[in-house]
Amino acid sequence: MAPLHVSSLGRLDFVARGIVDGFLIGLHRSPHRGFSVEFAENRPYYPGDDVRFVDWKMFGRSDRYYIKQFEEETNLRAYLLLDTSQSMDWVSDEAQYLKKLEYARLLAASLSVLLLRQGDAVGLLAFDSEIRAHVAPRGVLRHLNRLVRELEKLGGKGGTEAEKALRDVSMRLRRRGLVILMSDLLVDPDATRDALHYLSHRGHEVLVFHLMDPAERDLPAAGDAVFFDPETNEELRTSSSALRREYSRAVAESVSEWRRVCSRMGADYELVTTDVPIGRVLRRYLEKRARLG
Amino acid sequence: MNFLHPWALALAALAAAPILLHLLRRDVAQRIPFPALRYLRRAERRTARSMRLRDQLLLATRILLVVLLAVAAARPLAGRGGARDHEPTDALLIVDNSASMGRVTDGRTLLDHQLEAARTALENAGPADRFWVAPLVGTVLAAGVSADQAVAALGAIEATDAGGDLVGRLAELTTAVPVVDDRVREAHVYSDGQASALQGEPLDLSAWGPVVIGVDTGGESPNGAVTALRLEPDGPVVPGEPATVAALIGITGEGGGTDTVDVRLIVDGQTAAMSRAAWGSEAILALPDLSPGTHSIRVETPPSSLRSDDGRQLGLVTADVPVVQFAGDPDGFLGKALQTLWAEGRIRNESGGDVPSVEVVEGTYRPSGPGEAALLLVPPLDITDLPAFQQGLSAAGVPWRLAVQPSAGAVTLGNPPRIGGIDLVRVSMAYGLERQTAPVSSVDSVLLRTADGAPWLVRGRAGSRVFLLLASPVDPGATDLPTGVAMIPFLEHLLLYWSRPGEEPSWRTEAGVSLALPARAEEVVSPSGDTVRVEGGAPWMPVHAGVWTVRVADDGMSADTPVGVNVPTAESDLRPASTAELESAFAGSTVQTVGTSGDWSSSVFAARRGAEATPWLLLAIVLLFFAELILAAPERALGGVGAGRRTRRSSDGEVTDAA
Repeated sequence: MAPLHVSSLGRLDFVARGIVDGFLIGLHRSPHRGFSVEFAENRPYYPGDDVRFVDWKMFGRSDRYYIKQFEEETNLRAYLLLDTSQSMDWVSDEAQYLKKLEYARLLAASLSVLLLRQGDAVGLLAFDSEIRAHVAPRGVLRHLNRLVRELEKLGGKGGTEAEKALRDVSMRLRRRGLVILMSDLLVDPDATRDALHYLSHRGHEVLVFHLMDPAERDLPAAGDAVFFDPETNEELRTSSSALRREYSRAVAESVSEWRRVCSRMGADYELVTTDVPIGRVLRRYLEKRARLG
Repeated sequence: MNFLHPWALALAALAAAPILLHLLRRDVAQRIPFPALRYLRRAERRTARSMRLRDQLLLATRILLVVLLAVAAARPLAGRGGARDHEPTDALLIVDNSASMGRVTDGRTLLDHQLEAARTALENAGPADRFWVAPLVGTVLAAGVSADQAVAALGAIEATDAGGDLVGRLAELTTAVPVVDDRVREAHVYSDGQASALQGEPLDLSAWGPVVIGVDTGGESPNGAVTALRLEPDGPVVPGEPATVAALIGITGEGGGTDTVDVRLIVDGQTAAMSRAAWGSEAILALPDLSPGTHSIRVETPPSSLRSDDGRQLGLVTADVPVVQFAGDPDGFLGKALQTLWAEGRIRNESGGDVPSVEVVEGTYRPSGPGEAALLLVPPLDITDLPAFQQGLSAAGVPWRLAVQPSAGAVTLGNPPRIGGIDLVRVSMAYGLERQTAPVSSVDSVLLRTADGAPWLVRGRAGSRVFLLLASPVDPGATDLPTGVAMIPFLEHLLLYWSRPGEEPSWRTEAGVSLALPARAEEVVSPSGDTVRVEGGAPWMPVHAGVWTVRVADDGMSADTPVGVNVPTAESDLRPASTAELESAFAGSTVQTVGTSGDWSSSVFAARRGAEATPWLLLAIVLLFFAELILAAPERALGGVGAGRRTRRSSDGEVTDAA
């Protein structure tokens, strides 16, 4: 189902759970096992859950299956870095696609569900030219509500300075962790690259979701027009029709450059256009994770 | 370069439209938010040169398209164009149908060749052209007609044995073509370019377009001809008396075959004598003893280049020797002349007991009783004898009377007949001939008039008798006729021919020459036997050689007069005119000649206006249109960036949703 239609099904956490439940349940296993398990709460049983964790006492009292959940202390602390600049608050065709920011929110929520289900701690950091929101990582499912509330509050405005957020995260993560950056990467490439390198150097796993509107990847023809950047208000009068080939080349070069930079520092890079179903993105993510495990 | 609709060039001003549209579109260009502007800018930097070039090409293509459309609408004419691409032309088509065009080459006559050339030239005519079509000999066949009608008129042109006066004919017909400012006039002459056809004063046709003369000479072969016939003795032929025909045999052109040629005399369709004569000499052929009546005489040579002049003919009337009774002074001029004729045996007198056939009366006529003899009445010199002469006229039943009129000085006879010396006769005194009962009966005719138009010799019927009445006495005091060489031939002609019922005993003329028919002429019979009804006194122009017969009604009786019609001698000289002669004949005019295998289409309709270039322009427009489509294809592609959020910058510069 197209992301636009999925997002219209309900609240963000409901949609995110639906995505994770519908496509990915049972596939994800945290590669980092904790050693200290403390009971945290029960939750309803879902097909595929490990029967070892069924709370039989609760079954005896309520005649319903519940799964015992533990606050598992793992080695993985994940930070979701979400670009909320004005460039993210754009869509080429509202009738077909989500805004990049909306897509990123949905993706972040889905990743949160996935990670929390696995028992990983998930934190959130939203930024544009400043840090706009911060939620410290926790590993309980209840934490999802907090994350979703923060995600729903985010709106696109301002410029983009990703390196500031990246450095901030690197300061906050004392142990080795996972940093997932969701941005359109319309940023200062050198500074961002340095920040990513710094993160990687500190031993963190870095995963970059490069978000693009389909129209940013394949420029449609629009004849003579004045194009302007909503962030900077810079203008360019041109005929997009005549530039399509060169534009695609420029995008491809940029993607290659980001891919090369990420690869060099051991980070994962994933180009994601907003017409791609979230589930497919998650599957790709899980496949990468599985290879790590 | 000319244009059929030059006003349409004003549409070229629309060429500014692409520029204006471009400028206008700049002002109303859509503002589209696009975050990935950095990629767009990078692409724009890379393609700036090619885009600028494409834009310039596109603008040039569009401007050129508009200009070409305007030019195509103006229907331009480029180059000299073919014969079909010419200004509206009024063309005078003259086809030489004279005798010389009867030569045969490649199994067809020159006339046929040139008619085909004319039809070929007409294939290049346009709908706005008009044509006047006329043969060189004959009437105008079409005036101001279309090419199709002109072709039809060409079909009516027939060969003749007449001579042609090309210059005179052009002078006559060019006045028939009206002068219209915006129309070109051209003369197209289809001829053999015979030098003898260029007669008269030079003709100035400088106001016309070129005079295009098609010259089909039919080769340079020599032409033999019988160029003249002469009777010996030179006068009426009388049965029983020896007579000969002298035929002059001529040849023109180089390489003229044998030195001598067979000459044949044909009388009434039968070979009567043969001879052999050298070219350029006279062949003398003896006439057989001819019975009284009309005879067809023809002398011919073997066929040469031009067939129609290989023979020459004359009509001949032989009469019985008239029996003449004379009443007058035997020692007078008239009496002496009659005695001479008696002595020569050309006439007889009544002493032998013969019944007079002609009664010659000089002075007063006194009826001697009923008779059938013709009367020749000569008035007295003494005016006091005139009343008695008038009484005699009355007694004879002659409806004419003499009136004393003041002498107007000596005059010559106008339009005299072919009687030796008659054209030299001068008349110093003549009575006025007045008919008693007007109008003049159709049976009366004026045989001779003086140069001032007064009747001098009249002929008519008085009962059953023919009368001839002279206006002057035969006396040196009235005319120099009795003392001149014409006296005896004139008198003999009177007695042998004019005193007989009927008209002229014999005519010789040339094809194409107009003659006045006798007043009582009823019909004309062609050499081939075709009979045509004619009006007496009307002009008649035979155009075919041969012996024609003019049938004349005479008081209920009909009399035939043979007329020998021959090819004009000038037609036998087939030498074509030189370029200098042609230019001299049409001084001041542009003369173009087209040879036998010449290209008429390059010479006629000379006011070329170029070929219409519109089809080529339309092709160029189509190609440019496709070029424009290709160049502008990216701009016309569907879809767009941020379709739902296109914005315009408002007057205060704020970006707002366009929707």
